[in-house]
Amino acid sequence: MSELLTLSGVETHIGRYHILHGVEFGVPEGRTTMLLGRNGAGKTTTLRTIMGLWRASAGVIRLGGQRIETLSTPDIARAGIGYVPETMAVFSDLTVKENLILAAREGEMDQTRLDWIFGFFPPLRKFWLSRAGTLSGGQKQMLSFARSLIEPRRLLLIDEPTKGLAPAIIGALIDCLKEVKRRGATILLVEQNFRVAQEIGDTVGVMDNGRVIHSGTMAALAADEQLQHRLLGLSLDTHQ
Amino acid sequence: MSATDMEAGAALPKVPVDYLPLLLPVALALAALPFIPSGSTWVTLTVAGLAMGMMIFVMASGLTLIFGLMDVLNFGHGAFIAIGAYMATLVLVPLAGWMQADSVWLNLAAVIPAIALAVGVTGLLGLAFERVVIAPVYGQHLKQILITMGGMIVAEQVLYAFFGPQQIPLPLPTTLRGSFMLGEAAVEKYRVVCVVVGLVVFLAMLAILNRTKIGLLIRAGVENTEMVEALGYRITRLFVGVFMAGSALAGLGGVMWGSTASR
Repeated sequence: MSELLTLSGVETHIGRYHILHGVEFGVPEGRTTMLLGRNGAGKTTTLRTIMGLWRASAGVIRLGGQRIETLSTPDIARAGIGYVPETMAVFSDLTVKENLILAAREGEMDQTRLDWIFGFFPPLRKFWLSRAGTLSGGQKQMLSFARSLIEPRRLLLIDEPTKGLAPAIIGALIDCLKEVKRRGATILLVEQNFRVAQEIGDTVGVMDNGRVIHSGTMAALAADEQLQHRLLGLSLDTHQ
Repeated sequence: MSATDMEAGAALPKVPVDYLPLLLPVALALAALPFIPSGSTWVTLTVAGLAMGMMIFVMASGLTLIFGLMDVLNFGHGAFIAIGAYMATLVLVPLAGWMQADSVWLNLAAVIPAIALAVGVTGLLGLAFERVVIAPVYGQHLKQILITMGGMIVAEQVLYAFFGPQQIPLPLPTTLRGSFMLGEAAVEKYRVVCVVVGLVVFLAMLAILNRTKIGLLIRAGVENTEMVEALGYRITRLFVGVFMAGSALAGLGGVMWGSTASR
């Protein structure tokens, strides 16, 4: 399967800190790629570099063959990338409705698509006119997801969506991701929860110290406990 | 059909309209009523107060836009008010004859270009001010205070150099001189115009900020510029536009205030 997104020798500096040291990996089209690794490995920096929020100081990033590492963040988004940041970054002062209006960049929101999203996240309908700042953490994550789904995107970048959320909310997010995946979306997902990663991921990249130290299929990593120990310092048995 | 499916088909909540804030000026005016012995005096003073408030609103609305939405402390905002008034003199003083004519059309032919010049020049100066002075100090309040105060002093001295230290009267058009009589209460025509202009600016701002995508973008951009850009919008251009609009409103307020002060 062809790769929609490729990173070649990507380096990122933040101030005087050298965070990414030549990141190399690809995201196959129509598949869900998990980016795993310990805290501080460079996963979030990788997503932010792809979005242009931090500039790559070296290397090449291609989306569908087109170089994007020199584009501005709005142009990268317009190239078809949806981004769900770790902080969720919902606009607290705006209502749920207004948050989604902004995310629907191309014009009016598609009611069918909106109903599809409400199917996964019913609280968004209930709190349609409430300010996003008044939502719970889980509801904010639902809104952040909904924002990335309100229009079809070529690629979704999702950063630790289950962090700090209740199991019921995590379940709703996983159901949503599975459905989005079933519809053929290409997803790059950073996740700390290995169970979630195993459930959703097709392929995987493991990062450490600003490099991708392992690439392969999720099934192969999930089946090899020694490899998990070596790469991540965990096993499924101890991380449930 | 599952509960989720049923909810998906339900109607979305409608926006409730909150009229309460609009009643505040009415409540304040009524609260003053017992302290003013004559009803006609109360009407005159209420309209005068509203007009003064509206003029301050027009001038301050620019400041509010710039500070409230862009988090920029613009201590040079007053310079745009003064520049607006001075720009109006460039048109109104040479066209004093038209202003004194007993014709609405001649009056308008002088006033409209004066307002257009004031708003246009202050808007463009706002653009230059934002790019040159403000852009390097976004997010740094102390530096914003220092540099915008510096900008104001420079603007003040430039105005002195071009227009001299003497006051220049800004004449009122004949059409707006004098008063209406509401029963026994005299209501100055110019004050009514100020109230109307203030209301128009207020309603326009309300509509733009709450009912247009540009308004949503401005409000969202104040909170998280990065995320607005990650959604595909070029927020920097929008902020430049907001600064220009804020400066232009100051210019409009300057014309209104200058005409009041010259009466």
